[in-house]
Formats: sequence, structure tokens, C-alpha cells
Amino acid sequence: MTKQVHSFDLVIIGGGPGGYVAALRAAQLQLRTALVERESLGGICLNWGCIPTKALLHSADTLRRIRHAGAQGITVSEPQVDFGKVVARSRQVSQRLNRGVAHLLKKAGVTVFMGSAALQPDKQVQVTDARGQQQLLQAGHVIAATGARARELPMLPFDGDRVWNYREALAAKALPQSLVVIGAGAIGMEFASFYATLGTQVTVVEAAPRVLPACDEDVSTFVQQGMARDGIRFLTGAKLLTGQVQADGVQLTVEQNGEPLQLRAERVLVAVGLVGNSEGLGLEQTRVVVDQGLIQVGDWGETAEPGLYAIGDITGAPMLAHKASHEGIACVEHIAGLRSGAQHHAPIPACVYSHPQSASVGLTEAQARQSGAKVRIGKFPLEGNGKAIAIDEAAGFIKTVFDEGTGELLGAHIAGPEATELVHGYTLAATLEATEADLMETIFPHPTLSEAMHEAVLAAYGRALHI
Amino acid sequence: MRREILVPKLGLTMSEGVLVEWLVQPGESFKVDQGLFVIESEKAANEIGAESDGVLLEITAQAGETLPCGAVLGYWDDGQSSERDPPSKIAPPEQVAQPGPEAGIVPRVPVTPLARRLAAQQGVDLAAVRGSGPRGRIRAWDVLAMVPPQAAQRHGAGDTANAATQTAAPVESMASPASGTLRAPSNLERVVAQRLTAAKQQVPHFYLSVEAEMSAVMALRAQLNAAQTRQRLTLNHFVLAAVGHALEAMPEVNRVWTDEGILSIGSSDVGMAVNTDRGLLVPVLRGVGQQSIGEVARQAGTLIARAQAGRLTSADMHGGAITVSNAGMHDVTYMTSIINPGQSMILGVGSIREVFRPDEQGQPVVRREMGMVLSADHRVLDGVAGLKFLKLVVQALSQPMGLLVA
Repeated sequence: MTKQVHSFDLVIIGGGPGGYVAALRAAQLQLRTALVERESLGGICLNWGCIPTKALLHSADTLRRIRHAGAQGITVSEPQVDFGKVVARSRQVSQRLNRGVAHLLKKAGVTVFMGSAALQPDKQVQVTDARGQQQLLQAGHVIAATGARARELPMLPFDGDRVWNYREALAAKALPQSLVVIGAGAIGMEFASFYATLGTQVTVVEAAPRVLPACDEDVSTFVQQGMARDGIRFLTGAKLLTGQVQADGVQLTVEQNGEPLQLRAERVLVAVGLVGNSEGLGLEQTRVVVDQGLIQVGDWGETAEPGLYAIGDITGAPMLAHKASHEGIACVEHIAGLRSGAQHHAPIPACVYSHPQSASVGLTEAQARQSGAKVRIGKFPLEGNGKAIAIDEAAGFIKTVFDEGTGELLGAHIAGPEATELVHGYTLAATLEATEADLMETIFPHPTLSEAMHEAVLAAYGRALHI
Repeated sequence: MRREILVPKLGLTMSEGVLVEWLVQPGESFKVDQGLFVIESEKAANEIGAESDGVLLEITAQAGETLPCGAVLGYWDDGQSSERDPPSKIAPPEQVAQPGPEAGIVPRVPVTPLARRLAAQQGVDLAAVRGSGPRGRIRAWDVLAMVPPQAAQRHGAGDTANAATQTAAPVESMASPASGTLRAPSNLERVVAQRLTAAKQQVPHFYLSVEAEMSAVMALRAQLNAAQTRQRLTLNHFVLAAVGHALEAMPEVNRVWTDEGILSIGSSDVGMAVNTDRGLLVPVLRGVGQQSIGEVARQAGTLIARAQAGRLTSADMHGGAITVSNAGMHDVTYMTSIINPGQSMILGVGSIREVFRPDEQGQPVVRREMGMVLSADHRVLDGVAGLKFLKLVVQALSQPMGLLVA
């Protein structure tokens, strides 16, 4: 067991979208930077999350389009799904991007250490690789970007076979006949959508009274109805009581409206949130405050331990890749002395890639009303949008939430085709603090779905045209 | 020695590149590894660093041009002498004078639409707002920081938006013990905290303390207040007047450090710390050294009333090199203050103490002394000038008749 000491300005623990982006920015700023990753560069996002699920859902979208091709005058025979190939392509996409991250880091001059990191006194980081070899890194600053993992249910622990987390759901060997998804957040809804489209009988169990509980209520209702039309069964306000893994499936008892209900499925996907990866880092030896597995940080990711920072999922909700990247850059720029003072937190968009899609930024209508703001709500259905009708995707709507007094765009919610590709428009507007007047003044290209974004703004002031 | 700058070949397949931008201008020197220009191959944009220290002599290719690998982009001097060094064919670039800030030309301050509207609604003068956004853009929260907290609550939704998306606890939570309560500072508190921290950290303070003999002021004040009822005079009016007169006598200290240079202030303006429900405010009295004590008192009275009513404008609080902060009513001997951001001096004024001092024969005599501590910015003032100024203030207070007339 040899020990080498390497010295760096910055050591980043975790190579996910928070960590590797922070490393690239640090290298741009001429910091001697090391990145420690225990599994795969790109983290969960790139290897087991955002990206591979989008590859799977793209296959599902292709299948859905082919099935509906007849309506557009294209006659096709019944499409066949090669499930193994669908999953393999998704894995290839991840591998390709994983190599891309390695290349970017190399090009930037970031030193990558593959192994687990543990904090030592005096800003040293010990890296232990898979063979037990240890190396010691001396750091000027340390950023913990260790991310989060799936929360486990005590009555239904993950077993890698019948009880899945997102990993098994991403790399299934065969299409299950039936699947119960516990949790109707973004992850649960995306997998439910994927498997149902490919032919699995899917039941979604959600403890909250509605699916996508973090979304605007109108979005939740619309998405649930759309997915129910695709054959998914929803049990909302339903609590999982027991789970029993059997030889050929899983037997579940859930309680809904005080009534016990028996469910049976070939597999179960548990998607009830995430917990922070704060263990094994040696945080106990530091002044870092960890609350329920999450590291408590200030505006720039600074912890209570001088020189130690944390970014991304490990610092709490919303656990989103783009938030982690943004925090990583801000943290590095703060370390480099470029930015200080209080940070203005930019609005963070959130996307759900189920079918139908949804995306949002800012406050829901309910949150805005709770905040005491006097609000104006605009809602525009895609039936009034020419492009949506032309592409046969007229189901959906866009909703805006404005502050009555100031015209501030408090929130925007999109449900329907390409919602996730549209939401950046509102995000940009909110970040640049556009008011309703600026949005009304903006010329949106015709014919596009984005015209509905304009109409939703006009609608908030009683001026929508195509309705 | 004059040397060529060539389009590099970055990878086997690269045959040409697009010059994206020059990072150094002709005539500028650079260090080894410093980026000289950005060239884009079909794969990526690459910043190309200097191979050693040098000076960029001239550029022969402009941003946007597509050039084959090995083409000459420009010339640089590596600082090594050479007999064969040919004179540059092109004359050195003309030194274009950088336009400095000129009187009458107001630089365009970027303001977000929401910030502009909020400023109009809340009566905030945008000229007084410091933007926190990219390129100094004034954002909504910068405007709200200028609004008293009660008024700012009318616009709470923006904060809630952040609260809804940011669950990370503020950094203060780590510093505070496990018990105790934590609350978010108001926007005003946050801005005050930032500015004071910046002032204390960035301004090199030094301190001078003296005692002023106040018996004459006290006697004169009693006489004046007994003789008329139109204008009640306070000790602070005399201190303000004394500072104003000292500024008139010594205009060279009436100046402040700015990023653009040392700014001399033509008028003997004196800031006055006023405690209000909204916190400490500092309106500025104008031309104090040219006014009688009565005029100073009237000016101070107007500003205090406006401060208490929350009706000070940014113009009321703008300018001046010095502030008088009088804590005399709070039974304190000396007060060492933080210089108000944008100024160069603050005079902390303590309570009057009756003390025995030996006279010339060594016999104790009663004196009424008031402790004063001058905090000064060492970038614009040294100890000698500071002390001379402070002595002028002390002198004006020991012989206050001079303050009666303009």
C-alpha cells in the first residue's frame, strides 16, 4: 500500500454534473484541479438518470409515432419492439457521453482519480481505488459533489430483481408484463410512461393526493389524464402498507381512502425520492453541518468548515442536474475570488419527460397565492396553436402566473409536446426579470409551439388572440 | 526579436481554423501561457497561450477570418535582442486615449425591466442603486434593498420564489449555536451588512482621538437658547458647524477615494447620523462651513424630520466626505466608528465628562471634556493632516463664537 501526496488548488469529490462542470470551470480559471469519482464520470445523471432515460423515452416516442402514423397518412405494419436493443442503445448513449466527459476533463487539464474519497485533517483527501490502493491529495479547497441515491422503503428493500430502483429500471433484461411504480414524481412518471408505451401493464401508487405533487395542480391533472388514456392505472392518496417478494412477482398492500387494496405485479419500481450521499466522506471529523443526510451550505456552497464546499443534490432539493452545474460554477468562481456577497438565486426550471411532457419554472399558482402576492393567471390551450394542430399534438396548455402589481413573471407551466424544450424561454424571461410588457412585446416565430407561450402571457391580461 | 504568430495545427485532421478572437491587443504585453487568441477547429474552440513572455506587435488577421494551418496571424516581440531584427513594417498602433468619465456624460446603467418598474413604483432613484447583476445590471432585489422593509413586504413574492426553489439553509445557521432563533435579514439589513463589511474590509481605517473642552459651547448654547425660541440649538449643531468650519479652513481633507480617482469635494458638506425606526440613516448637510449656527440647525432639523418620516431622497444622502455620529446622549466616552461607504472620515462623538485636570500651577480645575474619535481613510489622509483637521474642530468648539456667523 503506497501513499503518494499530490497537491491541488481544488479537489472535487464526485464527477456528476455538479462536480465535473465545476472542475471544467476551475480549469478555465487556472486552478490546479483534481476530480475524484468512485464509479463513472458524469454521475447518475449521465449514466443512470437524465440521459439514459431520455434515450429510452425516445424509443417509446418513436413507437407511439409509428402507431399513430396512420392518422397522418402513413400506413405501417404493426411495429415490433426489440426490448434488448432499446436498453442497449440507452446504455450506449451513456457510454458515449461518459467518454466525452473524460475527454473534456483531460483536455481541460483536470486530474481524475478513480476511487472513493475520504476527508482527512488539514484539507487532505484520501482516495482509495477499487484495488485498495490509496493516494493522498492535498487540497487548497474541497468541493463535495457526491450527489444522492434512491430512497429505500423499509417494507420493500431493493433487491435488484423484483424490487427495482432506477438502475434496474434502466437496464431491465426483459420487458415486464406488469409493473407497479411507487411514487409519482418525475422519475416514477417517466418510467411509468416508458414501460406502459412498450406494453407493460403499469400501476402508479402515489401517497400525495395527486401525481407530480411539486407541479402546478393543472399540470398534474392534465398529465395524469393523458397517461391514464395510455392505459396506466393511478392510485393517488394511496399509502403502501406491505410488500412481499414472491417467486414470480411482488404482492403489495396499499391503503386508499381507508380501504386496503391488493396489488400484484411482476416487478416493482420504488421511486420515492432521493437521499444524500453524505456517509463515508469523513464529515464527522469536520464542522460541516449535516441534516438528514444533506450538507447545509451558504450562498456559494460554503459549509461551516473553512475551505470545504458542497454543491448539487447533497445540499438538498431541488435535486436537479442543472442546479448542480450552476451551483458548481458559482462555487468555483467564488473560490477563485470572482464573485462574493449575497448570491441572487436564479429561477430553476424543472422538466418531466413522461408522455405528456411537462415543464415549469418558478411558483405554481397555489404557491404564488400562498406567498400573499396578488396574482394574474393566464392559460392558453394548445388547440389554439396552429403548429400543435399541424403536428397532431394539440393536447396541452401553457399557464403563466404574474404578480398583479409589478408584472413579474412568478411562474410558468407548460404541459404538452416539447414542453421541456420550451420552458427555457420563460426561464430566460424570469432570469432577466422581464415583465408582462416585455413578454407581450416579444415577437415569437410563426408557426411554432412557442406562440402559445406568448398567448399564455396575453391571456393573463385578457388579451389572448387565438381563443 | 520579432517573431511570427502562426495558426496552430491542433490534431491530425485540422487543416484550417477560424480566428475567433484576439485576447491581447497590439502593444499589450503578455506572460507565458497567457491566452493570445482563440482559434476554432472543426472540433472545438481552443485558447492558444503564449510560449513565453512578450509583447504583441501587430495583428494581420482579424476575428472571423478562416486561415490555413501555418498561416501568419500576427507578430510578437520576445524581448530577446537580435541584430537581424527588422523594423516593424507597420507603425506602432496609435495610442487611443481611453475616454475617461466626463462631466455631463452619464454612463448607461443597465436595469432589468422589473427593476425599472419597481423603482418607479417605490420611488427609488436608480442612479443611487448599485447593480448586482452581470455588467452591473440593476436587478429587482437591488431596488428592493433600497426600500424600507415595511414597503418592501408588498413585494414578497420574489423572495418566496427563491425560498420555494432553494431549500439550502443560509450560511448563518452554521455559525449560530444549535439553540436560538434564526431569521432571514431584510433586504435593507442585508445591504447595510454588505456595505459596512466592505467599508471595514476595504477602507484602510486609522483613528485619532482627542478631547474637546466644551464649557464655552455649553455656556454659549445656554445663552442662545435663553435668548430666542425660534431655533433650539443642540450640542450636535455646534459639532456639525465646527466640522464644517474646519473643512472650509482645510479643504485639502475634503476628499474621497473613488475607483476613478481621488475626488475633491468643493462644498463643506457634513453627513449626520440619524437613528430611525428603519435603522441608521445619514443625510448630508450642505455647505455647513459657510453657514451660521442657526442655519446649520435649521438644515439639520429638516433632514432629521425627513429621516424620521422615511422621506429622505437619495440626493439627501449623497456626497460629503465626513459624517458626524454623535452618541453623546448615550453615556459613552469614546466611539470609534466605521467610515460610511463613499466617504473618507467619520467623527464619533462621545458624552461630555466633567474631569479634573491640572492647570499650569498643577492645581486641579474642572473641565467639561467631550471625547471625539476621527476614523479616517488612509488612502486620502495621513495622520498629520487628520490630526490638524481634528485640532481645527477642537479649536472651533473651544472658541465657539466663530460658529455664530457664516
